[in-house]
Amino acid sequence: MLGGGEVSGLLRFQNSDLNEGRNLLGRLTMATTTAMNAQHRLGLDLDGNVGGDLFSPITLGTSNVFEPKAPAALNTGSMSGAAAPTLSVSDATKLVASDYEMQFAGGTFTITRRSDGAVFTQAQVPPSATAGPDVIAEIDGLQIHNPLAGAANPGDRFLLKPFSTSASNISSMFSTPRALAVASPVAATMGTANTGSLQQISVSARSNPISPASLGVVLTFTGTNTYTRSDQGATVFTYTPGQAIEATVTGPPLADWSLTLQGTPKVGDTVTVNSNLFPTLSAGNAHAMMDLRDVAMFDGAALTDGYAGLISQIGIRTQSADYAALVSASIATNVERDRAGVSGVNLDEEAASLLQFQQAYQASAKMIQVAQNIFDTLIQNLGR
Amino acid sequence: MASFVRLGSANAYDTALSNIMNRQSSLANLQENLTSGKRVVRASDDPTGAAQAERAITRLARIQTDQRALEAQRASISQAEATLGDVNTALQSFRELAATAGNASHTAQERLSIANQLKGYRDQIFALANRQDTNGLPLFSALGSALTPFVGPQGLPQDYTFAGQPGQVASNEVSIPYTLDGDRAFMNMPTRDGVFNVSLTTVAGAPHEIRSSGVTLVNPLPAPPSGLSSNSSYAVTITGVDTTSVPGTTTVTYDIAENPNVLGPFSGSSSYPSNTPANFAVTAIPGLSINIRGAPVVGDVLTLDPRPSIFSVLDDAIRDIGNAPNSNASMQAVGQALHNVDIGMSRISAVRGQAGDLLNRADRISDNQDKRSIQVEGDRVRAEDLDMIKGVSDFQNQQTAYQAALQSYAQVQKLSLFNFIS
Repeated sequence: MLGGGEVSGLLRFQNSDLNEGRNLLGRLTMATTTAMNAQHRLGLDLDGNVGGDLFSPITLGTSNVFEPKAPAALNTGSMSGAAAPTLSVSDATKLVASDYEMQFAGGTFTITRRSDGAVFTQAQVPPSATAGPDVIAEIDGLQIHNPLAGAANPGDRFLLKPFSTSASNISSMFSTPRALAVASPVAATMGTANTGSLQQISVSARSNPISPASLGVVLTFTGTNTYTRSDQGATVFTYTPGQAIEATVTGPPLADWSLTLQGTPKVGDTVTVNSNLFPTLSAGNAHAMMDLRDVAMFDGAALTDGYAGLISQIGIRTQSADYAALVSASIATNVERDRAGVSGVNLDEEAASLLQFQQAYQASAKMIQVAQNIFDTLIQNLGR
Repeated sequence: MASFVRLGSANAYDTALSNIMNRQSSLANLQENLTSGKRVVRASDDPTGAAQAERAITRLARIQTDQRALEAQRASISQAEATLGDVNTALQSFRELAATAGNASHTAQERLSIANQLKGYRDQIFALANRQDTNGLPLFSALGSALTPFVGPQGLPQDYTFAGQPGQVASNEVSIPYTLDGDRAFMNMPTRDGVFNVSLTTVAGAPHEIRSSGVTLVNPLPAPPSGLSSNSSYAVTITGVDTTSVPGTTTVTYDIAENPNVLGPFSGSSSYPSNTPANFAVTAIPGLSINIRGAPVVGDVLTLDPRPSIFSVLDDAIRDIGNAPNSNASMQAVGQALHNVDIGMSRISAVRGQAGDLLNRADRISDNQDKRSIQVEGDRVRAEDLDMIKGVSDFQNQQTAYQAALQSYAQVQKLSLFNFIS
C-alpha cells in the first residue's frame, strides 16, 4: 500500500529486516541451546548425577503465538485465548528462521512460512497420533500443539513467532564446575583375551539413565566383520569399522548407547558395553559435546558455521538497503533539480533582471528629464 | 541536462555540497579501511567475504583447540612411553639380579639378601605402572580406570587386578589417545601369554635334582572348550619311574590334577635313555607344554600356577628365591623368573612400540594442522584484509578528488553577476 518514502522504509525495516535478524539470532540460540542441553543431559556430573540443562531451556509460550486484536476481526473458534495453540521444538536441526502464519479454512489449517511464502496444509484432526495426541501440525522441526483441544472456525488465523524471544532470554543455568556433566554414563570394555586390533573410536549415551536391559551387552566377534550380541541371541550382525553400533537394533528412535569401533577383530574377541564404573575420570560426554561442532544444524550447515551464515544474510540485507538508498537518493536529486529548475531562483538571472529594470528605470527617468527640458525650453521661449 | 539549462542557484549549491559530503564520507571510509587494515569492516561491505572470513576464523579457532588438546595428549603419551622405558630398565635390572641368584654356591642367607634387593625393583615397577600425568590422570587407564589402576597384592586366584576397563582408544585425524592400555602392558592371560609359575615340591631326602623349563603355549591353541582353562592351575605328580621294564630306557609316568577341575585329570608317560639325565616334555595338558629335566623321583610334584600380571611374576621370583631351601629350588625359581619376565618385557615393549607410533602420529598431525592453519589464515586474509598498496593508492586518488571538489566549489561560489554591477 505504501510505495516508497520514509514511513514505508521504516515499516519495511521493522517487518522484514529487523524480523529476519531477530529470527536468525533466535534460531542460532534456540538450536545451540537445544543441542547443548540435550547432550549435557546425557552426561554425569562430578557427583555422579544425571546432567541438567547447561543453558536456560527454550520455552515457547504466549509471547510466541499471536491472534488478531481489535479493531481487526477476532478469532471466533474455541481455539483461542487460553486454549490457543502452543509451540515446541521437535528437531533443532531442521529449524528455518522464519515466522509462520496459520489460517483455518475449509477444515484445514494453511500454514504459510513468511520468509519464502511456502505453504503447508494440515487437516484439523491430525492423521497420525504418533507425534503426540495434541500435535496438530509439524513443520520445519517445530510442533504446533492444541493442548486444550480447541476447535478453529473458518477465518481464524494465528501468527507464530517461534524465534522472537529465545535470543533475549538465554542465560547459563549454573556456575559451579561440579554440575558440568562431562562424564559418560556408558563405557566399553574389551575382552582381556582379545587378539585382534580392535580400538574404540567413541562410546556415547543416547539416553540417560540407560535402561538396565541394554547394559552388560557383550559383542562377540565371529569373524573379521561379523558379530553376535548377548541380548540378541544368535542373530549375526555385520561389523563395519568406523560405523556406529547402536543399542537399538530396530532403528530410530535410538536409545541407550552408541559404540563406534575400528580395527580388525579376531574370532572370539569380545567388547562389553556397560555403565561407566569410573565416571570421575571420564570425559566422554565432553567429547560428545565437542562433536556437536560438526552436526548439520543450520539449513544443513555445521553448527560452527551458523554465525557466518547469519552475518552474511544480514550483510546482504544491509547492502541491498544501501543500494536502494543510493537509487532513491539519485532519483530525489534529479527531481529536485528539475523542480528547482522551474521554480528556483538563479541569482545571475535575477542580477541580470535587476540591471535590466534599473536601466529601464534610468531610461524612463532620462526620458522624463528630456521631456522636461523640452517643455522648459518651450515655456521660456513663449514668455519672451 | 543539456535540454534544460536553467539552474536554481540554491539547488546547484546544495548538489555541489552533497557531492562534497559524499567525497568526504568515502574518504573517511578509505581511511577506516587503511587504519583497520580490513577491506571488509562491516558485513554489508562484502557479505560473502565477511562470511568467508568468519568461517576461516572459526576454523582457526578449531585448529587451535585441537592443537591444544593434542599437546596435552602428546605430553601424556610421551610420559607413558618414558615410563614404560623405565619399567623395562627396572625389569632388566631385576632380571640380571635374579640371574645371579641362580649361582649354586649361594647360601640361603645370600639368596634372602638378593630377594630383598629384588623387592626394591618390584616396588619401583609397581609405582611406575600406577604413575599419573601432570593433571593427575593415570597414564595406563585404558578405556577408563580408577585413579590407581593397579591394585594388589590380594588373595589368589587374582592377586593383582586392573581396576579399569581394558581396551585402547583409537586415534583420529586430529587427536591421539590420552592413555595407554595398562591391562595389555602389565596383565597376563593364561591363554594368550602362557605365564605360569612352576614350583617344585620334592620328596624329602631325594637328591633334589629335578627342574623344569618355563611353560610354553602350543601353537595353535586347541579350540575351546577342549583348550586351556583360564585360571586353572595344574599339579604334575610323578607316579612311577620305571628303569627295568625296557633295559636302557627309563619311563616316567605322571598324573596331572587340574584345580579348579574343568577337563582333567590327565595322565601320561615319557621315556628317555637311562644313561642321560631326564629331559622330556609333558604335553598331556591341552594347550600347554613343559620340559622336565634332572632326576625325577616318585612323589615329586610340579605345580603350574597361572600368573595374572607381571607383578605376580616378580612376587613369585622374590618369594621363591628368598625361601629356596636348596640351590635346586633357587635355580628352578630363577629359571621361571627369567622365562616369565621375558614374556612380560615383550608385552611391555609391544605397548611401548604402540606409544612410539602414537607419538609419530602426533607429530604428523601437528605438521598437518600447522599447514592447514596457514592455509586457513590465507583464506581469511584474502577474504577480509586490505591490499595496502591498493588501499593507499585509492586513498590518494580520493584525497586529490576531494581537494578538487573543494577548490572548484569555492571558485564557482565566488562567481556572481553581482560582483560586476556594484
